[in-house]
Amino acid sequence: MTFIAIQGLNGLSYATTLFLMAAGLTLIFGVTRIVNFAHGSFFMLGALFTAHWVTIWYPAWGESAWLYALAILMGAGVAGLAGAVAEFLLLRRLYGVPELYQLVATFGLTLALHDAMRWGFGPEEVFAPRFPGLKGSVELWGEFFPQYQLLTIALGPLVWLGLYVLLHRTRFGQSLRAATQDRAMLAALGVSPKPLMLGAVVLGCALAGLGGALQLPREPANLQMDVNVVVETFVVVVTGGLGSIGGAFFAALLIGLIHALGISLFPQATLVLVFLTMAAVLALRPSGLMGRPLDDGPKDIAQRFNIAPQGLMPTRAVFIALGLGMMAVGWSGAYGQSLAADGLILLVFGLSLQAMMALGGLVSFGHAAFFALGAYGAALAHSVWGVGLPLALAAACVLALAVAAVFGAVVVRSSGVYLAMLSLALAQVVWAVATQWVSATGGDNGVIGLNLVADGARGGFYVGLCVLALFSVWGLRRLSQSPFGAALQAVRDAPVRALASGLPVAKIKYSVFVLSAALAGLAGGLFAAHKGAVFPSVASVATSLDALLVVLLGGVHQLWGVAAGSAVLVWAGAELGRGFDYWRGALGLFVMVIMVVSPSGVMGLLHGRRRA
Amino acid sequence: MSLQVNQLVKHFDGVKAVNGVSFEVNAGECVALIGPNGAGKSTLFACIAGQHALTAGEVLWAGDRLNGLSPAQRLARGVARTFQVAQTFEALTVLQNVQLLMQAPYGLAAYSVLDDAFKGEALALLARVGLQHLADADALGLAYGAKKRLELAMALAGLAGATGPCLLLLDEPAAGLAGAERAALMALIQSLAHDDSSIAVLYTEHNMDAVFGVADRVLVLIDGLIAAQGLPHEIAKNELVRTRYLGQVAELADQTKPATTPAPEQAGKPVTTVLMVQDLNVWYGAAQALFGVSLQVGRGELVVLQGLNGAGKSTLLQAIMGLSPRVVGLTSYENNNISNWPAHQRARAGLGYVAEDRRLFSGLTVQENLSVVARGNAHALQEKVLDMFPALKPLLHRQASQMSGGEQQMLAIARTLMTEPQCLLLDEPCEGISPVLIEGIVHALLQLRAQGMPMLVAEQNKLLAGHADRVITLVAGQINP
Repeated sequence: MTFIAIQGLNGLSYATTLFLMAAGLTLIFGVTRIVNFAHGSFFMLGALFTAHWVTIWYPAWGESAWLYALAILMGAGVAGLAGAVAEFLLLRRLYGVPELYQLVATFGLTLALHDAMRWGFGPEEVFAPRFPGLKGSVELWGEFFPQYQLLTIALGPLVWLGLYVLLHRTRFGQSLRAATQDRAMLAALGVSPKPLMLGAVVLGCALAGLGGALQLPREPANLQMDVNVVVETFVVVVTGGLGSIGGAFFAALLIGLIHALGISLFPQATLVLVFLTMAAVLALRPSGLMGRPLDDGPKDIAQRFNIAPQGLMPTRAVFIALGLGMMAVGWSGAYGQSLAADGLILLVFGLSLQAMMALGGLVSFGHAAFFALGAYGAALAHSVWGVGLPLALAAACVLALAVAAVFGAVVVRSSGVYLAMLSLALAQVVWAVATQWVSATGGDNGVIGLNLVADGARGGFYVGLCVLALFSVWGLRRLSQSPFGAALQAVRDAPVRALASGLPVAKIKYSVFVLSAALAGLAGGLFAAHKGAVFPSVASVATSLDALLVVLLGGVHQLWGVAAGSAVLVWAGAELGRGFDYWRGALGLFVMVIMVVSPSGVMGLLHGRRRA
Repeated sequence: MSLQVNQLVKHFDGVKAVNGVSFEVNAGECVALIGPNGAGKSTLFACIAGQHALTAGEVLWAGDRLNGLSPAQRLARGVARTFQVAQTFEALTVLQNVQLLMQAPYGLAAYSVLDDAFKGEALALLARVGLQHLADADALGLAYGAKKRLELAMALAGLAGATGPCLLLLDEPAAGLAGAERAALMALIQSLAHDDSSIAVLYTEHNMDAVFGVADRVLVLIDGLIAAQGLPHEIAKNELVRTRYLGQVAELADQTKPATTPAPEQAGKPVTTVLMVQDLNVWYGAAQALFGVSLQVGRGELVVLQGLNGAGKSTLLQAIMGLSPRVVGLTSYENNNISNWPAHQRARAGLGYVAEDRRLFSGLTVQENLSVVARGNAHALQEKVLDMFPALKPLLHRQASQMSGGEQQMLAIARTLMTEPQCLLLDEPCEGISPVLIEGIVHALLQLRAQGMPMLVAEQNKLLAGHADRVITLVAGQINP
């Protein structure tokens, strides 16, 4: 009983952190209608800045309670300031553009900020001192509980109260609430929306920074904080209902408590438990505890899927030329063959994402989840049951498909924003299971020594890979021309009309999602076979990003885009990635520029804008 | 072989939108459903087409009960609909749009090729609606008239698999089109029913030229009830229908006459123009809502903008306020060209706008609704505004969402007055509220006018028209000459 009570207090303390994050995210969304994927970066910025301030730059500040508190507030301030810069340079250009571009651009911001902080603060973990005057513990029910955590427990409701006062008692807060309801009408009454949107972003980012800085006395600041915290923030926001601060508060309490109990009862499955809680809430209330259904944002102009490099040569010739080219690379030597195999696996993985993004308009930021499920599925089927390559690949598909079948049922019916947020969270769950379920996955040591492809069979495997990659491209081409592909595009562009025309809208979206997951699983299985080992990094954000990048680089609506994108990415990763430490950050920057300048991708840019 | 609607009732949260409606439409017949704004037409339509669940009653087509069936099940029984704002699948070609919907009932395979499916049938259908020459064009680039035709073809395509008679439900099939294009489309729709005795057409419409001469029968819906039904020429003579609905059309035409003569008290005095609109065109997506509208409002003038629902009154006011996405034309205020100004800048220059659906900040209290937009001395302003609407004084701390329609309307006007406007744009300030409250609102507006406030008021009822200096009538997005 005592144990549960203490864990409950831990949960409440964590709930404060989650609430600060979720409130900021939901506030920004309310006014600007943008889901800030980079919200975790502002959390990390607040933590890193304050940590450096009180340990490295001005260690004396760490010894005075007042100065420490001031440093924490400064961390919040710096995060708010960074938010202002981000609003001015990026978000401002995204208001009123289709959701997909907003999501992708803020995802790029996450990468850029991550590397910017790695460059600015260095890669080392920083241990900040404990909070002066609150270093000890209090005795509760015979157990010791850190005093500082009691303070953070109290801070949650205090911040909520503060936000309430700000939103209800000040003119600025009232304007924010009015803008959340009807920004256009507020403008028609003479209130300029620009300062309000800037204000909401600054306030939201400052709250995130505050949440990060408040973590310091109990955990070190490091460069993994951004992703770790944003995943559970997304879960809280979705559970509470996007746009509702009260919902964020209660969901933060719920998720915080589940999280704490999970750590003490099933430490390996904490994130799974958190995820299941959210799924249960969404099953009962599809818009979250206190949320309302989201209205559709502005839609992109309808995009026709380009199946051939226009006017170059017949499609069949392209296929043959590419096949011959790949064979030539394969016979150029082991290094070339290995690199080309990397590229081909990435090509299949990218195609799986492209199918749902281009035709279905559904974006996943956690496609690594299915890739990793495939990789582990193949690896474990091989190492536990000793099956060969074909059955291992089948296991890869089946595992990815099974998880997608459940996850898709929860998510596909709700808005695209939810899918984007929750797919990232799902990938993190898979990652957590891979690292923590040591008895099955080997944890960080991974599953190694796979002998799915014998040394003598490398050449055959490579040829098979070439055929499979080309077949996948051909399959997507066929899909785009099929009645199912046409129905997907119909549902993407005019859902109301599609429904009234008798098209099974939910089923169509669900099918493409599951199909895409199965193909991603196959790519993961091939990866396991090719590398001979699987580590938890296959489920990392970097892997999800690879899929997204090859699609965006080549152009979402270009059949050959992914082929071009994966070739460029593998080549650049091999050539540039070695010499340049910050190339993911640079890619993030590149993605942001692309989303603002030419959302149709680089190939789209080369083709010229089809429709002005 | 008929559509039978029996005692159909639809309530929304206690509001009785449709109140026990019964009628029949036979195959081979083309029937129009008309009625004033708010009569429940669109609700009734959505109930028959399946977008709303019924509160009570039943809908039968050829003997089959339609209640509770999904769109796909309705299509299989021969019932299809179109929308007021045409929506097509824009990433596909015209032909593919039709092919997809012909294929849908037989399953959506991922391996076959859509272009091979039902090609002959689809081309024949396109020929029937006059689009065969555009078969390979992208739906995205279609002109709006062609888009309306394509939507009609899509509705018919969905019925291609139905074995029995077919019912076409068309929601304002000619909205957004002008002149000859509208006449041609209505003729096509009429011929669909007349040339094929197994097709019934039921359509809603606001423009009388698309009703008389097209429909075989007319149903008039007023206050959620069928007020009259019969042949078009009978309806045109029906006393109740004339006073409650059609009368407006005729009277509007008469009232436009004073437009050329200045109001008596201003005779001889030159009126300075405060607000001027020249050759304004407005689009929603591909649909054009206003066609070259020009008008002026002088200092101290009360100009009433009349016209049936859908004629473009609200669109015009929104465009003047800078709230419409796509506008071409000149708007000038106090001799400034404000055509490219954002909405908040127009408001600060002195334009005050009251929206038709009020658009209150419903999560805010009355007090907050007022103070959030106030400029200058909010307290003094609020005193002044509340003196004009004393009924709001005891409600200051109530949530805007928890007030009656009339109170909300007063708040909407009061809120705009808090911005100290120099020229008012009011959209249906008397709509949907009780007569007593209407009097109060009219009184308040006349008070403002007495203070010299120029006003442009969109108004379907005739209450303010009697006090107007000028009345301007909009018909199908154009000023009635």
